[in-house]
Amino acid sequence: MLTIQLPYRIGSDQQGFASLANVYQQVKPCQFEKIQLDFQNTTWFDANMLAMLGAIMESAWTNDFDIVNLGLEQEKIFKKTHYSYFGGESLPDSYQTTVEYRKSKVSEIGSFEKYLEKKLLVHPGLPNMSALLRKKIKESILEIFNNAKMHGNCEFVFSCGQYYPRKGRLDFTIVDIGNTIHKNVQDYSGRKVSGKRAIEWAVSERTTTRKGNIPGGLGFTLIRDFLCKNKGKIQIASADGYWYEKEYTSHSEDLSDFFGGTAVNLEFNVNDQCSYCLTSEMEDTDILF
Amino acid sequence: MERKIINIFDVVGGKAAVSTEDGERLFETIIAFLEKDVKVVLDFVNIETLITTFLNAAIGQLYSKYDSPFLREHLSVRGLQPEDKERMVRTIERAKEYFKDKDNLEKDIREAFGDE
Repeated sequence: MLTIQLPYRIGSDQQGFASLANVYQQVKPCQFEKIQLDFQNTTWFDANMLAMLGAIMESAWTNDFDIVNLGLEQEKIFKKTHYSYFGGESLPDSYQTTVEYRKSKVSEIGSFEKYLEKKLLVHPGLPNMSALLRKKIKESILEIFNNAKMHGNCEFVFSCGQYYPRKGRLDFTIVDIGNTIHKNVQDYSGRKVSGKRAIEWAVSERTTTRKGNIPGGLGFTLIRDFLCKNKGKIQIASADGYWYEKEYTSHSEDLSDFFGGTAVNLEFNVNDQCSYCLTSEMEDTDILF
Repeated sequence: MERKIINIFDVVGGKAAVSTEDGERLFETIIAFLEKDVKVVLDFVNIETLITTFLNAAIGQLYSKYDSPFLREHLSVRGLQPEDKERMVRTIERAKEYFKDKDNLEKDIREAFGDE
């Protein structure tokens, strides 16, 4: 039996991604084993990061996982998200701060879109947001979902969210266990690049690892533009690279442990009063092909 | 020249134009009419969610077959929500760059990564 001690805190940050990547590293070689995830030392676990834990447990599905020593408060949060480990057992979310955990087939973007509408955008805990802000949040998440499908070459996408009322922040994490950004960029470029450099390149404007007749390289640009204006944040952990951008400043680092997939955390400022209206109104006839 | 109006709501079966598959289907429909020298109007009325994945497959891909002057003469849009017009413009600009840059792929990679 393998026992893995989880650290005292799993937050939506580099350390949180690295800690879960470490779990991934430990479970990856296991097959048909009993694996204990020991939460004895864990006093904080951001609910949205369950997307990454769920993806990791799914990637090692032949094993028998046991979550032990989970604190009462942690267990409540896990159950409020309907985390699948508890077999659908759930608790009511009276403070309405969690967004349901979900494992989605990449082929079912329509169903994922409805989940966003029902479980996230009309979340009773969220403040009144403008229709345009809601639309921008939804479109950003859908772009990431599609990215996982197009580039991850994976079957499932895992997602979960947490709303922080006092901070006015909504964190939403989307994870796939598929081709890493590092692999895609290396295969495309034929160059040896580091994990963090691969992410930097993949999120820059006008870059894509696609080679067919469908252009790419715009989705991340639009998300970055929006999140900078929104005073939100985007973080990506993939392979041995980590990258984030907040308020027009980006930074990348090595991730201490390799993660065999891609985790994206989008943090939205839900108190944003920006209208996002264009400075000049455009007519349909102004769109020139 | 004949004119065909394609209702996007009808093509995707709802208010969200978000999948590559729907985009591909629209692309195939557009080229079927363009091949017959029919002018195509894309009507986005009642489309509330529109993302680049759909637009790249439906619109961006057109630049693999046709040039800008041809598309300007044969294709137009209407009914886009104000905030989606910029998305459409950027998709078009990106598609033009993409097919231009495909020839300069190796140079771009060299510039980006050097000898890394």
